[in-house]
Amino acid sequence: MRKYVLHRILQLIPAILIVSFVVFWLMSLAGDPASVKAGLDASPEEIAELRERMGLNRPLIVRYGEYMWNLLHGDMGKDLMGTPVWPKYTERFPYTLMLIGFSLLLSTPIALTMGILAALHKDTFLDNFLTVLCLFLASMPTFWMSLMFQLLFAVKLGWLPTSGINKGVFIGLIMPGTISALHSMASKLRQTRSSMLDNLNADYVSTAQAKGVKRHDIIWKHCLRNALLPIITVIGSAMTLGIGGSVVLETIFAWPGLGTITVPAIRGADYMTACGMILMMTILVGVMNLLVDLAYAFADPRVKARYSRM
Amino acid sequence: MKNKLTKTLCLLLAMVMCLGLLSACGGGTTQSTPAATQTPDGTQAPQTVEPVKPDVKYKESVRIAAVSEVQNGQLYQNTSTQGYYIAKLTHDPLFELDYDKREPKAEVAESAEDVNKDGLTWKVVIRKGIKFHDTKGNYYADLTAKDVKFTCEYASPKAEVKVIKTLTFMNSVESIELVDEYTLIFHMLTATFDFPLQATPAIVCEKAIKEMGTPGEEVGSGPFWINYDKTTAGVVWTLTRYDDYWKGIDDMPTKNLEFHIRTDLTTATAGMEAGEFDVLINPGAANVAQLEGEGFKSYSKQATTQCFIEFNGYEHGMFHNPDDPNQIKLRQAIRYGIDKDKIVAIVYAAAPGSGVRCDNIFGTFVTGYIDVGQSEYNVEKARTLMKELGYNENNRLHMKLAHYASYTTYATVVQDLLKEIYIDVELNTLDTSVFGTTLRTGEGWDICVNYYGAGDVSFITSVKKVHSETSMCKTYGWNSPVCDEKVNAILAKPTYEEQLAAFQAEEQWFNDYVPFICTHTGVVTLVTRPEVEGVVIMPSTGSQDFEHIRIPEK
Repeated sequence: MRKYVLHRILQLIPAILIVSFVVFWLMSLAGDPASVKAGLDASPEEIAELRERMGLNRPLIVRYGEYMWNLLHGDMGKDLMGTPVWPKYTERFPYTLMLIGFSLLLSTPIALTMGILAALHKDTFLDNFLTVLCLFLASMPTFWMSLMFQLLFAVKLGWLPTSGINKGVFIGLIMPGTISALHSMASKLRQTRSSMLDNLNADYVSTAQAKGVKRHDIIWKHCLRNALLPIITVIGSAMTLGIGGSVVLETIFAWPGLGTITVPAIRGADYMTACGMILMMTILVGVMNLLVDLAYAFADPRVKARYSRM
Repeated sequence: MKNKLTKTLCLLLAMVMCLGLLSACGGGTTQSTPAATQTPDGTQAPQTVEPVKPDVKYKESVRIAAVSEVQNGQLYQNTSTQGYYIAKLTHDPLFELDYDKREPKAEVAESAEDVNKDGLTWKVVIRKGIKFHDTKGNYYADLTAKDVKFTCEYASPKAEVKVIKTLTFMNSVESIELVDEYTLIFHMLTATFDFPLQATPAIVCEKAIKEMGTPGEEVGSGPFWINYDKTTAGVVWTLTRYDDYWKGIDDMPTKNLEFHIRTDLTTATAGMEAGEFDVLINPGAANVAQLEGEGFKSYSKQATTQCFIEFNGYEHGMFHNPDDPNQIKLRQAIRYGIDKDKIVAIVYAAAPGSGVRCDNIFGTFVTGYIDVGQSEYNVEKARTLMKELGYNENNRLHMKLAHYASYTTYATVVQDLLKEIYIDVELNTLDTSVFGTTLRTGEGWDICVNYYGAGDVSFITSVKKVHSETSMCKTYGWNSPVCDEKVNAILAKPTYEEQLAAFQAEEQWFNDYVPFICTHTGVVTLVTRPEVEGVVIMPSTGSQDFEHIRIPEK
């Protein structure tokens, strides 16, 4: 098992190399940092001089090599104004993690429970209602839900702040976290329902019933355990989507996460910040995928045995 | 069958719910934002600020919603507009511009004297007793003439290591001589009769920069200091009052200015409604109308920023030879084809009155501003000129128009207007990060729509902008010996009065000739809670004067 984990961690290295090079290359095409830094009123000569000073005239491969060399020494470089990138990441990363974590902790138990209920009460009013609810949650744009929540809970009722963390981090997390949870709940609920239905109709359930196993144990100990693998996959993909998809929520709710710094960096041709943030997101996604794989091993002993043989 | 029916009914119910919710999003009345009050010569009606009441207790903090991110509090090394303007609250300038009176106000400088009355030698005396403070609010150093000299040379475009925001007036300065601790002399390259109108740098501390590098720019002498203990990057920036400020703090009862970063305007507006903010800077016309309807107060002032249409003057551009009669004719045809009232009406359709047309490229705040009259919109004249150039309904001219995504409405209106005069325009929407680069290649555009700062009060600074040697003209490839000759002739006049008269005599010509068709300008708006006092509105969006802002305790 330990060998498997190590193997997966080592697999991250080529992924990081490829992503970093692609991002670095794309950023070099996507705008001129010297032009952005100097401003529209700068003359072409001033911009050329600034470009020279920033080292942007050197070949891409040289600049990339220097960047990776510095990265190996723990230096993620500096942004357009000379501020180191790493502290920016460490300031913002916990907030993005909080948002994803809150969304996960809120949505997963509710989605699992409602998915099981939907499966158990297939084709009843409850099942149809949950189907419609999933359709609604998956279809409604995040920004629209965010604005509606702000109007209702902040402006009209005054229960929560419209945005920001001035009244406390947890209070500020409730609305964006809930919206993120609602959005990801739809796919989890549907997958749970579908997986549970497959297992409820399996032969081993009939055998268990015939043997007199309690219904509660059949559902929660046997069916759910067997249904977990695809559910874990959906949870994992929701988490990774949450990293990139949190930009809208972070902007609307002034949540100081990675999204609010990455998008302006890309638009402002701040390639050091953009590269650094995307690279760290890549590592985060890699780690999350590893956790998902380890969760498979926890859920299914056959998978664990397979990992151990690797 | 029953299950299918139930499913269908549930789906129909869901559709009805969605439609109902979506329809609830619309509606609401909008009210027009009152346009800035203007006097006949284009200036704004001067503002008066009520004095602080001695028997009233005021709140310790004022919460301001700012819509752009702040990177740091550095003055000259800041790419963030909001960050730059927050930094200006922590520093004092040598002179400040009074936009209403079109005059300089002495700040760090006590006086400025044109020693030989030839504009070439300016003696500046610095006030005594001005103190620099650090980012803990502690005394750091005294402000002396050395700091002024250092600031000018540090931020000069001619410096060996350039800062991001350079001081363009230093292009006219040959050298700066220190006479004593509080006196210095500026030796100018060319006669600069309105030096105080140009010498408006915010002063940084030499000692701080030499000790700390560029973070030392945050050491200032202004009424506030950046309180990092109450600051969270990307969330809120707090400026705390410096109690030993040289002007005194009797009329500054507010201790903390909290700038809450809300990049989404709708969120910022919702925050105002929920009572989370006291002041909102430029929330957008529709949001202003909504908030006014709910009892908030708004203050408006015509902005310094002008929107304009520019022509590609690069070597391979359509307008590369500005003195060619055919190109002059084409530019004139386009001028006749632009309906500025229509542009304003459509661009500001959400809140009529929050934008005004402009007809003078030099801006209403400049000394020597004259009313050049409204540029004529005449489709027939435009078509006549186009026919003389060989274009007609069957032989149309094709052009590319480059613009920012946020200017799509503006660009689309220009496209529709030019369609009427035999010009088919293809829009080339560019992201902010590539807009400048694209313009400077001269490729992919024949005309563009953009904005520029027309906030100069000095007519000398303003007229220089149409000289081909300036960076603004270089960006668009503008190079006209005829125009340069006129600018040089104005600047060569021996006295200020003669320069001013020469400028005013040519103002109409510049407006007709140079390839900037200014079309409109917006209005800067501050929205505040009704109880907020001491509001002074400046014509530049982020450069607001919050020194005296306050809120009485209930």
